[in-house]
Parts: sequence; C-alpha cells; structure tokens
Amino acid sequence: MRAVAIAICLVLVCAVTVFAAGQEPVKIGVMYALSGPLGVLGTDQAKVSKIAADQINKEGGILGRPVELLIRDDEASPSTAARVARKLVLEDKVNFIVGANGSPAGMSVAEVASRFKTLYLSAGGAMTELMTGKNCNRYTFRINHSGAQFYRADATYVASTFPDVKTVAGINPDYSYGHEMWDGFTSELKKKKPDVQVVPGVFVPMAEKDYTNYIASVVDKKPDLVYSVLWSGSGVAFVKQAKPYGMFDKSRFFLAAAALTTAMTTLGNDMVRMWGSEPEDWQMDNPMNKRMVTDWMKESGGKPPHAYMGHSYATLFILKQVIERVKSFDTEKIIAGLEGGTFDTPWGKMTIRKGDHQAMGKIFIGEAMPNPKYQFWTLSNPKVIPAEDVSLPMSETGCVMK
Amino acid sequence: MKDRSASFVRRLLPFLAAGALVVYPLALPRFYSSLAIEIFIMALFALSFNLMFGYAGMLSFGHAVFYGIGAYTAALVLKHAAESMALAIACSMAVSFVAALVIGFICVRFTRTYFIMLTVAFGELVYVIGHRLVGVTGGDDGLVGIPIPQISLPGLPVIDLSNMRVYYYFSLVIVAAAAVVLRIIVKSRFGHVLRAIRDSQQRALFLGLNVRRHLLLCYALAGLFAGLAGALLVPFEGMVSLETLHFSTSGNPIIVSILGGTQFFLGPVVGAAIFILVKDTVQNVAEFWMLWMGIILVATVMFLPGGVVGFVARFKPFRSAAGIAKKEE
Amino acid sequence: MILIQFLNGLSTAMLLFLLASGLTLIFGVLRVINFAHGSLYMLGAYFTYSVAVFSGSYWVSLLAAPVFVACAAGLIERFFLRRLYVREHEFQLLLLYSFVLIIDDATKAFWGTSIRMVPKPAALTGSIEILGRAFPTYTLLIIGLGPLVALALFLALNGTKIGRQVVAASLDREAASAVGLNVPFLYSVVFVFGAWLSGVGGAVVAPLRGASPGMGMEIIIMSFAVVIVGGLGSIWGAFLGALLLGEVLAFGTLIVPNLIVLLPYAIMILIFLVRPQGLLGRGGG
Repeated sequence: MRAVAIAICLVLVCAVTVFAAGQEPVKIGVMYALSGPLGVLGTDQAKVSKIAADQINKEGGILGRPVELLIRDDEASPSTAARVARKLVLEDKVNFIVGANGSPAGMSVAEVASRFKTLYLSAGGAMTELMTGKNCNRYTFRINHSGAQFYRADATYVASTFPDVKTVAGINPDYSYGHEMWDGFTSELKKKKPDVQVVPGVFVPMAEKDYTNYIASVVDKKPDLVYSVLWSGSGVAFVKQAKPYGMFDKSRFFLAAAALTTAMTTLGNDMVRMWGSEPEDWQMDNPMNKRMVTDWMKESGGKPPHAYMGHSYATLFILKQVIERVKSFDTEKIIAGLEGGTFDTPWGKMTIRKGDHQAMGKIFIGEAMPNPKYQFWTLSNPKVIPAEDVSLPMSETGCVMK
Repeated sequence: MKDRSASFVRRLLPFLAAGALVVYPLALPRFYSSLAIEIFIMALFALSFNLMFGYAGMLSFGHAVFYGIGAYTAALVLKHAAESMALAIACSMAVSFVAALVIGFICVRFTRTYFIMLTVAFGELVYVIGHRLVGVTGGDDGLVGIPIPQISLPGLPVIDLSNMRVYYYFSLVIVAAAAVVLRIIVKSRFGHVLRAIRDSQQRALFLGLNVRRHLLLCYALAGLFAGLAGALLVPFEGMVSLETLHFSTSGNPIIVSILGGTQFFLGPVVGAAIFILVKDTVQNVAEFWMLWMGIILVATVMFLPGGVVGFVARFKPFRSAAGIAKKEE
Repeated sequence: MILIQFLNGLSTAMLLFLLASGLTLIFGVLRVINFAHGSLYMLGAYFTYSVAVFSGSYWVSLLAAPVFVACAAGLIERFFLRRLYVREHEFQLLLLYSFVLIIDDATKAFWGTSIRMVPKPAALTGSIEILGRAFPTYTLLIIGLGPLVALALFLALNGTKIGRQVVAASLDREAASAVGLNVPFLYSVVFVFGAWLSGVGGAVVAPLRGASPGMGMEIIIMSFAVVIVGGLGSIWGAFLGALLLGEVLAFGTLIVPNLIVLLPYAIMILIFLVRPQGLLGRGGG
C-alpha cells in the first residue's frame, strides 16, 4: 500500500513539474533603438513585436509555452548593445535575442551571441556584409536583408529606369554600412552604365542632426541622381532640412534600403518627390500581412508599418515555425532547422541560406506617390526583385561558418 | 574585555573581506561576477584619476583618453599581434603612459580653469581622431571579433579568460596589484610632494620643488593606470567602442571619486562599488539612473565633501575600518 | 555656393555666439565655467516645444521658453551654487556637472526619448533666392539675431547701471563689495541672464533640429572652444570666436570633410599654446 502511495505521489510530482515547465515562458530579448535620432524605427519595431507576441500567445504560444518579450534599448550603439545583450543572457537568461538597429549594434550582439552560445536573429536592419560575411557565426541569423541585396537591386533599377542619368552624388552615414552601400551601389551602377560620373560621396556622422553644411556640397554638383541610405530619423531630418535648399527640385532623390517608408510615414504632407527600395510592401495581399497591418493600424491610429517592422513581426513567427517544426527548444536543433529552412512571412515564403545564415526575401523598388486613401505617400506599383537574384554568391561573402 | 574583542574583530575584518571576495563568484550566478568585474575596472579607473585629483589637485575632464587608448591598444594587440593578455596589458600601459606624457606636457603648464578646459579639448580631439581613424578603431562600428585570450602557465591548468568567473579572479588580482603599487607611490616622497603642490603650488615652488616635473609624472602615471583599466575592459566586453573615449566616460571617475571621497586612498573603490550597484539596481526598475546619480552627487558635493568614506569615518567604530583608507596628512 | 556656405556658417556662428556669450559672461563675473550651459540650451528647446504645443505659436514660445530656462537657472544658483562660492572652484564645477546629469535624464523622463519636432513659424517656412540659389528664410532670422544680441549685451553692460556694477564685480569682487555693491545679487543676475541667452539659443534651434536628448552635450564642447578662442570673459571675443569657428565648420565641410570635426579642437589647443588668453582675452594661464 505504501509503495503504491509513493508511486502515485511521484507520478503527481512529475506531472506537476512537467506541467510547470511546459508553462514556463519562452523568454525572448528584443533589442531596438528606442531613443535618439534613430529611435523612430526602433520604437515601432518594439511595438509590433509585442503585437506579434500577443498573437502567438493567442494561438497557444510556442509548443504550448507562452512567449515573454524583454524589450530593451540598444541606442543603435555597439557598446550599449553589448552590455544589454550580455545582461539579457546572463541575468535575464533569455532563450533568444532578436533585433538590434544598425550594423554597429547588430555586430555587437552577434559577438555576444557567439560568445555565450545564444541564438540571435537580426531583424533590426543591421545590413553590413560582415554579419553574414567575414564575421559570420553559427549562432547568428540575419532575417533582414544584407546591404548587397539592396545596392545590387538599386543599381539594376536605376540603370534600366533612368537611362538619362549622367551624374550621381551621394549623402550617406559615415560608418561601415553607409560606406558599403555607397561603394557597392556606385560600382554596380558603373558596371551597368560605364559612362556614369560618380561625384565623391559625402558622409555625415551617424546620428547627425544638422545637415545644412553638407547640403550645399551636394546641391551644387547638380547631380541627376542622389543616392542615400540615411535611415530612420536621419532620413527624415535630412529631407526636412534639404527641402528649402532646393535639393529635390533639380535632382532625383533615391532613399534606399528601407529608409523610404519611415520618411513617408513620418513626413506626411511634408514629403517630396523621391524613389526608394524597401524590404516589404505593406499593401501586399496575403493573410499574414493583412493581419499584421490591421493590428498595427489599430495601434498607430491609421499609419501603416514602415521599414523593417514586418521583419520584426515575422521573426517571432519564424521562431515559432522552426521550433514547432523541430519540436524542440534545443539550440543546435533550431540552428539545423533554420539553415535552409523555408518560412511563412508577410511577403510570402522565405528561405534562409544555409551557408551564411542570410534570409532570401524580396526587394520592392519604385517611386513614392501621394495616396488619396491615406494621409501619407506610399510606394506605388513597386518592381519586385527576389533577393536570390541579387545576393552575393557564397564564394564572395567571405563567410566561413565555424 | 570589550576592547580586546573589538580589536579582534578589527584585525579579522580584512581576512573576512578577502575570504568573501574569494568565495563570491563561486557562490553566485555568473551575472554577479560580471557585476563585480565592472566594479574592479571602474575602481582602477577612478584610482588612477584620484592620483591626479585627490593627491595633486589636478581636475581632468579628459581622463577617458587614456582609458580608451589602453582599451584600443589591448584590442589591437589581441586581434593583430598575439593572443597574449600579458603582451596586451604591457602595450596598453606603455602606450597610455607615453600619450599621457605628451598630453600632460602641454596641460600641466596651466592651472585650474585653463587646465580643465585643455583636458576637455584634448579629450574631444582624441575622440574625434579616433572616430576618423576608422581603419584603427573601427569608427562608429567599434572593434568587434576580438579573440579572448587564454593564459597557459607551466604546471597550471589553462586559464580561460572568456569565462566570467575566471575573469573575476584575474581582474581582481590585477586591480589589487595596481592598487598596492599606487599606495606605494602615494606614501612615498613623491606622493608627499604632490600633496604639497596640491595645497599650494606657490609654496612648493618657493621650497625649490620642480612642480612641473612632478605634476607631469603624476599625470603620466594616472594615464598608465587608466590604460590598464581600459585593457581589462577588452576581454570582459569582447569589443571596444568609441564610448571609451567619450566625454561622458571622462566624467565617470570624477563622479566615482567624489562619491567615495577624494581624500581617502580607497575612496574611489568605495565610490565605484556604489556607482555600479546604484546603476544596476536603478536600471532594473527605471531607466533614469543618471538622474539619481546626479542627485546623489549634488548631495555629496553640498553636504559630504569627504565622500562616503569621509562621512563614515566620522563615527568612531568605523574609524578603524576607514583606517585602511586612512586620511593622509 | 560659396555665398550659401558662408551664410550657413554665419547661422552656425550666431547660434554658437548665443551660447558662448552667456558662458563667457558667467565666467567673467563668477569665475566658473558653467558646465550646465548645454543642458540649459536643451531645456530651452524642450520648453519651446511644450509652449508651442500649448499655445500653437512659435513666437510665444520664443518669448516664454528662455524665461523658463532663466528661472530654472535661478533656482540652481540661489539654492545650490551660491553655497559653494566659499569653497574651491572644483566643487562649483562638480555641482554644475551633476546638474548636467540631472537635467539630461529629467528631460528624458519628462518629454520621452524621441525627438520632439517644433514647426517653423508660418511666415518663415519658405526659401529666398540668393544669387540663383535657394536659401531657407528661417536661417536668415538666426543670422540677424546674433548681432542684435551682441549689441544689446554691449549696451547693457556699458550703458546701464546694473551692467556697470556687473563689470565692476567681475574686475574685483572684494573692492566691489567694499564699495557697497550687492555682489551675490549681481552674481545671480549674471548667471540667470547667461542662462536666458542659452535658452534663446535652444528656442531658436528647435525648429531646425528639434529637441532631442543629448543635444546639450553636443554643443557645450563646441561652445567651450569658442570661448577659449575668443578669450574667457570677453563678449566680443566670443563673437569673434563664434564667427571663426562657424565659418571653419561650414567651409571645412566643403574642403576637408574628413577632418572637419577635428578643426575646432585643434584650433582650441593651438590658441592655448600660442595665446592662452584667447584672441581678445585678458591675462591667463
């Protein structure tokens, strides 16, 4: 009798433990720039991540466990990002980290991820080649695009759409990403249009607020096209400050790599004529996208998602999909599931390349136009380029996955 | 009876403290080790600053220059020369010392307001140069991918510095050794001359002391130890960024020393512990820890000019504990 | 293009002058470097934002915001700084630095961390054509403001009774006290007035760049450079220094964009080596 009682107790204890563990939340560290001039994008990415987490929990969580987000400010700064990531791993003991705005912060988090063997999914728009190139590591996956995917697509579009372009100037942020994009765009463009004149690029400090001294040097060269990857608040500030100097009247302005939609949604009717390339198209007709846009518009008072918000949203769902596919929270199994895996996203099905952990999404390029349905402009009839067509081949990335 | 047990406790105190320091990382999760390491590095940085300020009266608002130079030097050595912590530390101290000699040579010729402004100017200049030298410092991206070295000493198991607990002991040993050296400097004739200069430069000159040479050497030594602190930062963070050279980083050792008490040798150490602990506690609850730090600092400047140690030393039972950090006359 | 860049430089110069004049005035009289000057400037921008939102008019905020900043500075001087005049200078500096930390974080707490945009006054949103090139009208306002302020300061210090008392107190505190001047009161006046100038700077810059955390830190060191180059304590020195550095920044961006950020500090150090009292300062070292 006693033996039976003990056995029943043991079974009950086991059941309770298993049940409790099953209820233990999946902790995901969510890092974005929540402050500073680059914070415009990050704050919205954090909010849409919450929306995604709520939706996932409504659908029963991941393998029955609820998702808990730990949202942190990385200030788009590598030192802050390193400190915050380390704290998330050591003190908060998160299972995953997602996000990080900007390449410096992203690279920092990738380092921490590799050192402490925690999975990191870059969704904040850190597009430097290094992340899936020379500094690639086993624990880092890039859900957002690589810069090369954008500048190659941009060069293709510009060469075919504006055959009359003779002079090209640029104004870009002065760090790895800005230089990579400018150098990459101009060299790709020259391959397609050898007669193009490239004016020496103008570079501004990363979180610069005063562009007035730089504007004159660009306007004065009378370029046919000005290429810029000034993202988040920088792009907005630049457009506002450059407008009264007549920049957009004489030159075509190309605001590339996810900078355009932030400008459009923030500037409203202060917007000026320009073109751009984007990682998502919020007007796309698929169920996941429509659900995200509807939920976001409720939160934002009618404003559409911009820049990489769709990626922030999708990343949490990608985690859910891969974990449920491999039926485990084991890091190694998840890595295997992510490598080469195909996942549902608001822009259709997307595969993550095994060799460098780079996601193969889509690039949407076109002209910004006023939209009678809304208070702001939208990308009209964008050309859609699959990332596979413009990605650097594995041999050129420099990535040796350890 | 009471006296004997009191003095027994007093003599036991350092051993208890040492014991606690040894057991600490083993008893607590990794996070607490990383917190302690932050305190050690900040303490060393502040001790180096206080050599200049508390003992020689030089208020530098640009001390981050040497901290940052030490950090970048160590990082570059580890990344490009050899994965040797000893080499990295040696190079950091050497380069910071030389940089401090150069900058100090210009700065110590001025006093008070002009000295302060000049240190601010150099601080900004070095920051901006560091920002421009992207090939060396990585610019806004910082230096990432720095290999964290291991130490192999004959006969001992390999010391893996990427392990937080191991690094705790490593940084504790280094900082303690540096503190001992600083203590020797401060108690030597050189230290006495510095204090004489602090109290009155004119009087020191009249006594025939070479004021400028003493101040320059003091400044350079402060730079050397700041560089060492910077070097210790590298394996801990695994990366170096321009933040190490920033004006706000220069403010940290100042805040920390004032908090702890600039007239006490271990004041900066106490200040460092308070600073890091307040920062961590407040950050978990609210975002605005600098606000509280500022308020604490205002209170300290207005009402506790001797810092926390100075305040505590007023109470008889604690006077002996503060005795380790005894006020130098 | 040169003319446009020159004008850009002038607007930067005038903004720097607004800050540097207050800084140098405070130093000249109180003999303390106001580390909190940049934070007061930032408060000026944020108050401008709040008043503009509340009143719907930029001009109202231009008038009101600097006054609020002056009040805040008055509180700091009266209840904190004044008690430290008897102690060493270092303590006063440290107190002001502490207030930088407090004000910077309090700003984030109260107004949030994202940039607060202030719309330009309707009359000045457009551009004017200068030699065939477009130039923002608002920037012309800034350029006009600088010399006005300089002139007003000059008249105030030399033409008014209290101005002359301030000058006397700055030359010799003890003697001024001995002849019956209320020196503590004069100190307060100067500190508050300097802060007011800073607030005007913040109000004027708000429509251009918005109010954002950290904007104080960015401008304070450049202002130090202006003050050193011009000479600690000299208002005209501050004007000259601001002109010099404003144009160096403007043209430097065209000529040596890579080294542009270096120049102000290099010049500052050069002045220290060659002429420590600055271009128009008196005695030093």
